[in-house]
Amino acid sequence: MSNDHMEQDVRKGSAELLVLALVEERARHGYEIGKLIEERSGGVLKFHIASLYPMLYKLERRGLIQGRWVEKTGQRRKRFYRITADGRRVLQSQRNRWAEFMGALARVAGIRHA
Amino acid sequence: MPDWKAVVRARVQGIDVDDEVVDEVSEHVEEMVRNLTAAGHSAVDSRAAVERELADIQAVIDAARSNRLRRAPRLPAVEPPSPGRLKAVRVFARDCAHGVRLLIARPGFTAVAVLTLALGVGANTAIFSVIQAVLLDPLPFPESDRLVMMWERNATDPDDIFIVSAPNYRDWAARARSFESTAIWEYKTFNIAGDGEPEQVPGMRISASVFPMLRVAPQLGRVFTPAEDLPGNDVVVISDSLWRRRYSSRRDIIGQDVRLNGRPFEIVGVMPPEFRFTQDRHAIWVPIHFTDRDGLRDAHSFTTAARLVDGVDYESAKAELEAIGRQLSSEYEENHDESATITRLDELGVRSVRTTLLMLQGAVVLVALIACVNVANLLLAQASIRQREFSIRRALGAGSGRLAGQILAEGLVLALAGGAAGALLAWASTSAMASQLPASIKFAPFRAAGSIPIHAGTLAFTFALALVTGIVFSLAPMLAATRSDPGAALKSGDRGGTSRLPIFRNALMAVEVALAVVVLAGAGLMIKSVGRLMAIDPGLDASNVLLMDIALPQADTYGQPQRTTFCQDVQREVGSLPGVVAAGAISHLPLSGANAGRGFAIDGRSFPPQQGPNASYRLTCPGYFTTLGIRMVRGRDFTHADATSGQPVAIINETAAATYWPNADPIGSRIKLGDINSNSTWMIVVGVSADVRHFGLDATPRRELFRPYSQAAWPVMTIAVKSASEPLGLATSVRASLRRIDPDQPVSRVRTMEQVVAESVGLRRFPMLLLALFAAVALVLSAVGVYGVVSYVVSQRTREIGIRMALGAKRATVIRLVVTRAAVPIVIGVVAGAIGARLASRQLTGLLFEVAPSDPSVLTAIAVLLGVVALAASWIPATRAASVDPVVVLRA
Repeated sequence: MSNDHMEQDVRKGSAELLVLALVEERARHGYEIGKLIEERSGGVLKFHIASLYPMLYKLERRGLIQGRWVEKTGQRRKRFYRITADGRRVLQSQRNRWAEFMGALARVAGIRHA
Repeated sequence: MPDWKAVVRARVQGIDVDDEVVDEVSEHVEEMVRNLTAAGHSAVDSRAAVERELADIQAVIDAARSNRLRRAPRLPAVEPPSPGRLKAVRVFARDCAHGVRLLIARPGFTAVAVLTLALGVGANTAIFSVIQAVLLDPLPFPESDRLVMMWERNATDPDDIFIVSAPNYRDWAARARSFESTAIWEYKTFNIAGDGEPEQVPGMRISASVFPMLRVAPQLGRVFTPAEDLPGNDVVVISDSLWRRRYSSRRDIIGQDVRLNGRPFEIVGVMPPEFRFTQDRHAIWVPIHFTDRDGLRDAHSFTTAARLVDGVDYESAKAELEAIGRQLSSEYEENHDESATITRLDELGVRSVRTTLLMLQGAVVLVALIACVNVANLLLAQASIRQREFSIRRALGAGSGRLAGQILAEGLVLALAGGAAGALLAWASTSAMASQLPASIKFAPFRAAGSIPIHAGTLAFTFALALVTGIVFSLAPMLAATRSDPGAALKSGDRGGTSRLPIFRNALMAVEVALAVVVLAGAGLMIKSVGRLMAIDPGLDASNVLLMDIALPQADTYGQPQRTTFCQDVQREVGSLPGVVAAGAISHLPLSGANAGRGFAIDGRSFPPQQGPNASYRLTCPGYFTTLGIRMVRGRDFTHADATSGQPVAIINETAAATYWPNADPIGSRIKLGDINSNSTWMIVVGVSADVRHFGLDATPRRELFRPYSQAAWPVMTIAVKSASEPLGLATSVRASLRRIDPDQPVSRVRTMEQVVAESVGLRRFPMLLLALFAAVALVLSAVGVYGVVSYVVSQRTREIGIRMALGAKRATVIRLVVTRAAVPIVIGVVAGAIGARLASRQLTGLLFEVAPSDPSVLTAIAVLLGVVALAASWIPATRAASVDPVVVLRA
């Protein structure tokens, strides 16, 4: 498996978790979500428009996040996404799964997380 | 800073893309460029970064399209349940406000639903208000259910009742044990003079027992004493309206004199404002003052009533009076084919309209049911369409209870809007109806004429019905939806709808169609009936004939006329006016309901006992028959020479001639009033007139006997004037002419013969017009209902249709598919409706004329009409379905 493929797999699997975790803190708009993912992962994980918004729309369709247009005076309107109750449940279960996975990795391959 | 929105737009030019996607992407790009610029990147770098981002914008567009959410209108905040009643009220109020917004956002649905509910509520309330005012409101007398009318009746036909002679009344009063009091009266028109302009006022001569029997006290003064029944007591009691109008409510009116028909009468009492006896217009009551003529047992001129003794029921009293009637019939020859009976006082004048009004109520209930079915269907369809929205909201955390509360609020708002519109419609239509009512309903005895108050109870009931419909049919499908898994509905992209609903909805559609058939059939039968009626030749020419009544009071009301030159005066003054083609007068105008009858004897002929000749009795002026276009079949009309010739003459009609002179010419025969031994003068028959449908276009002509006014009098004559053009244009000049003849005798009731003919069919025309209106409403509602249901079914089946068309099905096949599926409930509805119509139309039997309730041509025509309309209503959505692009449908 090439590094690129592995990155794609990890990215796909963790994208949901990333977005949900970010909007769990507070409602955010699309660009902010993409920017924060890039910053907090130290540039490892980067989402372009073509992958970011389809993912957000999919999460919205599944009812895990809810988008809402917000217009402030003097600014262009922005679409903010916030987590839903179902989203919270899914986020928690995903966190648990990742924690288990990391635990397993640590036990088997000696990987520690920060 | 470049306009990034324009840049993005240019990039997606030609592609079908949601505006919101453009907005979101351009906002993202703008933010990105801002950050790049702040970090020190050049414009060129920024531009390149933008190009990289927008390189695969198609992926965003595709993702948005395939994951497209129906952007529902702003959803209310879904709050977790909180304690506090005030909060619940605020939440409910907000839900209602949201419900209003939702309704405004769907103007088509809202308009149809509100209008439909309004029609159901409004029409029901309006008709029932009329029924309440005319039939159900108790009379304004204490214990009015103990009051009855006494009538003479035909011994062999119990429905043929007529007014009473004074001797018969006296015998009933003396012999009957069932009545605690009895009363007798005769209608009379008075010329009132003094204290203002002379005017004609309707009133009565009454026995002193009338007011005590009714248990009504005057507001001023007193009523008559029994002693005042005898002649020589010229006293009068007046109505409140006359007192206000003519005497300005003067408290000193008691004891004042007033001239009635030229004689002074002393005002002794004023009746209270709500007192009506028998109609609003009757304003003067004088004592009965029986004359010798009143003593004739076969002079039927009086109306009589009684109050039942406590403890005696209606049926026993009726049986007793009928027995007394039979006794009198064997004792007196004048009563030979008569008996007696009683009817309830509150039925006076309204027996004939009872059936009509009840039938109209039945029809309007059917229309209201159709309206409810329509609204139910609309709500069910809407609910199914919104299943997806409900599922999303549940996924967003809304509890079933909260969701039900919001949908309840929506249904409530809709029902309230419909109910309010219905109340408005009821108010408007009762006002409109009040003016269109036939006179017999508008001026029903003892009721306040004119306005009809809205019946609050009916309004409340139909309002509640609308509310229940709105709420039940909003909630039911929602409750079904909340039981299912919302996630499943979202994932599969299913449009929702439980499998039970289509059957239910089809059943509702069939019911709607069936109800519409019943209402339409009723209307069709009435229209055909009135058409047949109006086509009947009344025997006269009603066009361009002006009518007005003039009172000709005299000391001996029915004796020799004081005004022997009356007819010549009319001919001279009126007949010579420009524009007048002919003029005449008659005592009992055809189709006006007026009638009188006399027995007579024929010289040289004898008849078996109790089977002597009789006929309706009329007085005319020469020129009457010509004026009304009535043919003289044989002989001649009266002439002015008859007045002075000294030879009494008479004219009979065709029916009388055929009855009593079947094989001979009656011209020249001698007849006289009363029996062969009476001392009336012999009259010579000089003419035979064509039959006129005097008693109604639907009634067979009866025997008629005419005498010239110059030889016998009648208190009120109707002047008839044939004009060359519009008859009412002559009213002023004719009135002036009559005033020249006698300034003290005002004229009244100016009208045309065409109005009289129309009024005579009013009791059929009025319900026909209303039924036709209801039928039109029912037809429109059921067409809308069918259209709505089929549209919904088609929208649910769009995918299936798309697949079929993609597999090669032609447009025509798709249309046929949709229409035949809709046809099943429609056909079932039409058949069920036809059966229902046959049963229901039996209620119309009394109102139909020469049309059977089961008239097959009407039923067939209605069934075909409704079938065609319903199928057409399903054709339109079918055509729409066949026009879908299968590719679009399949990709959605």
